[in-house]
Amino acid sequence: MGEFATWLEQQRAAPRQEGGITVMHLLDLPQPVRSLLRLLLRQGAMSHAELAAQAASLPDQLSPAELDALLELLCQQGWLQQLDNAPGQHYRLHLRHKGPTGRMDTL
Amino acid sequence: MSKIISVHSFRGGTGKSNTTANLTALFASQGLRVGVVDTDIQSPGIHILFGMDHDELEYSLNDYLWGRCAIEQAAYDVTANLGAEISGNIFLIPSSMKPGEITHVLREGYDVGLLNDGFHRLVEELSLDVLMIDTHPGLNEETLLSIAISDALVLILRPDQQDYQGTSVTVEVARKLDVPSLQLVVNKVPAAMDRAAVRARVEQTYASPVAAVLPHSDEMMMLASAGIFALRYPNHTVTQELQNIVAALS
Repeated sequence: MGEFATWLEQQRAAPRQEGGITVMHLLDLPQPVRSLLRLLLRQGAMSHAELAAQAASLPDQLSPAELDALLELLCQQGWLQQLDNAPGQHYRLHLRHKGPTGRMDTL
Repeated sequence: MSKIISVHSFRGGTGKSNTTANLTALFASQGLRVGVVDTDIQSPGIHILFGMDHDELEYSLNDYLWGRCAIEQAAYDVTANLGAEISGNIFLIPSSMKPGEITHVLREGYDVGLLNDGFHRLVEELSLDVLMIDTHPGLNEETLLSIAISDALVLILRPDQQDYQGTSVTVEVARKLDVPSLQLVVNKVPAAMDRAAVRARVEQTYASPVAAVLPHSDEMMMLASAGIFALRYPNHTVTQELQNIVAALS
């Protein structure tokens, strides 16, 4: 089983993390996931078709089935939001609110 | 297409804000529309270099993050403040200098997604060619966000063992976040040091290009943030090195 598949299995078994994703989470993700989420951060929002094109062009490319499994998982985790006001399926990252400085959100 | 450039240093006192302001002015001198955001919310100060009186600000980045205004309402065209012929425009988005508003951020935090949206909106609403982000030293959430969304990261360090070690941490993070262009800048190099040797050592240590090695400058110290060095001293060695950074980022 590859790094991505292993990670996906582990995440499915992990409890939902409330509050969204932080950029610090990105540092620990497998390369293809990190690349896609970094691009989403940079673009603000992306359609499913745009994500699929990017996923296919990555060095560790994701198949359409792997991409759909990833998007479903990230939405369940609350790291990704599906936008209702755009035509087709569009996604954006749900970034966690920065808490008081000195707590867990500061390195 | 617009470009987002973050300027960062692992430790404070490296000349990060000063370098950001100078690069901003040099880009604008090329006729570009440049935005500069002070995300150093905990210890802001770049507005001083652009001749802004903080008491006259109606809105700051803090107001945007707390939903009191749109991000473009906190953007000020400071081009005319610089007292030089600049063919482009400079829009500054300052952070608040009010103690209560700084402690509010430390106490309550803010919506990081809103900050990210604000960067994108600034580029669109102000038709920016370049968005410069002046970050807080070290690594925190807004710094990582700035690095992650940037097309280029300028990392500033001094020829100092603590800076060398801290910079390696940031370089590693930048690589993990796939920043397309990483440019190192060595600042405040004493005259007694061989700048070419410093450049070679830093390039070898980090396996990244060094865009500039800026010598320590008494003129810079004497200016004391009372203006933009590159505009006051256009033929100075420091300015020539700053131009090298602009070329590396263009």
